[in-house]
Amino acid sequence: MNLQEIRRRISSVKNTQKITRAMKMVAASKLRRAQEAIRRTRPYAHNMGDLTTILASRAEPDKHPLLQPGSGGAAGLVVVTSDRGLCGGFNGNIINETMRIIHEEFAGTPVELIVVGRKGVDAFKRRNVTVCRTFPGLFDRFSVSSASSVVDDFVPRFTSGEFREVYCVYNEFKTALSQRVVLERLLPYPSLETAETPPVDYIFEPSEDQLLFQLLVNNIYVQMYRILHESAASEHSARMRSMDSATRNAGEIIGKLTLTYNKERQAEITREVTEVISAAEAVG
Amino acid sequence: MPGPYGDSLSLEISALDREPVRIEVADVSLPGTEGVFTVLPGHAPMVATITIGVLTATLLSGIRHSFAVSGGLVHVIQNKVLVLTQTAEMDTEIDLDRAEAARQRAEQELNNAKGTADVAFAEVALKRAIIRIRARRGESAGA
Repeated sequence: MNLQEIRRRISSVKNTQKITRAMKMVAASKLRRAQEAIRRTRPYAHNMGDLTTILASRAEPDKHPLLQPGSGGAAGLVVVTSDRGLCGGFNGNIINETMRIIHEEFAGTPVELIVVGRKGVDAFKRRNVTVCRTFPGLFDRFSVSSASSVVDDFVPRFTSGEFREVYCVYNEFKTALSQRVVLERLLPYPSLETAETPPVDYIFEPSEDQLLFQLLVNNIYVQMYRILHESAASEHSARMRSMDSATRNAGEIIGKLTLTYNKERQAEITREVTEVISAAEAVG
Repeated sequence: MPGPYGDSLSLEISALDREPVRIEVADVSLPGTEGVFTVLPGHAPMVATITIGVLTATLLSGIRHSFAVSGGLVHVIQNKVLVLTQTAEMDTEIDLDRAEAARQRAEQELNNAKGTADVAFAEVALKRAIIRIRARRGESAGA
C-alpha cells in the first residue's frame, strides 16, 4: 500500500466511525425514552394480568372462548422483530428461535406466522417461509393502536377456528446490556389450574361474567402493547451496544492504519536520505 | 379513629401513562360505573369497573387528593385498593388554564361533529376535559 492509499483508508474509516458514533448516541437517547415507557407499562400490564388470572382461574373454561383451545389445527405465532437493522443479533436471535420453535416445539403442527417488523418480513421471505400476516413499519408511529392492529388480527382467527393456540416470541428487555428471547402463550388465556387458596368471596360490579369478559379482551391488548414496548427497548439497547462496538472497532482499525502509515512514511524518508547520501558519495 | 379492621388502605393507582402512585390513605372514593362509592378499611373483597371521573383519597394526614381517571377497574382485597386506569392525573399536576382550553376545544369539536360518527368520540373528550377541571378544583367524585 502506498501512502496515499493508506491516507484514503484512514479517512474512510473515520467517516464510518462518525456515523456509528452518531447512531450509538441516537440509540442511547431512544433507549432512555423506551426504558421510561417500560417502567410505566410493565406495572400496569402486570396488575392487569394478575387480575385477569384471578378471575380466569375462578371461571370454568367453557365460560369464554378465550379460555379454551380454539377449534383450529394450527398454532399462531406472533414474531416481533424490528423495522430497522444494524442492531447486532437482535433480529437474528428471534428468527433462529422462531425456526427452532417451528421445527422442535411445534414439530408436526402447522404454524402460522404473524410477523411484526420489516426485518422479520424480509428474513422469512429469504428463507422461503410462508407467513400469514405481516405488520411492517409498526414501530414508525408507535401507539396503543399499533398493538390493537396485531391483536385485532389474531383474536378473530383464534375465535373463528383457524388457530388452536396463539404464542408470541419476542425480545424481553432485561437491562441496557441484555435482552432475552422469550416465548409466551397469549391464547387460550393461561389460568391457574390449581386453586391452592380457598376462593375469595368477592363483590362484583357489574357481574363476574361481564368483568371476566372485559378483562380477558382488554388484557390481550395491554399485554401486546407491553410486548411491543419490550421489543422496542431491546432493539434500542441492542443497537446501542452494536454501534458502540463498531465505533471501538473503527478506532482500532484507525490505530493500526496510522501505525502502518507512520512506518511507511519513515521508511520512505529513510530511503530518500539513503539515496541522497549515496548520490553525494558517488559524486564524492 | 382506628377501627376493628385497621385504619389505613394501601392505594395503588396504576395507569398506562405514568409510574404507579402508591399511597397510604384513610378512605378512597371512586367513580363506579354503577355510581360513586367509597372504600374504607375493612371493605369486603371487590372487583368493579369505574368510569371517567374523579377519584378522591384522604391521606392519613387528613389532606385530600383528587385524581382525574379515565375509567378502568378497581380491585379491593385485604385493605389493598388497586386502581387500573388508562390515564390518571393528580390534581397538583393539572394546569387549570390548559384544562380550560382543552374543554373549550372539546366543546368546539363536539359542535363540529354533530350528526357525524365522531360525536361519541367528542363527547368522551369533553367529559374528560370537564373531569380534569373538577379534579383540579378538588370537587368530589359526584358524577
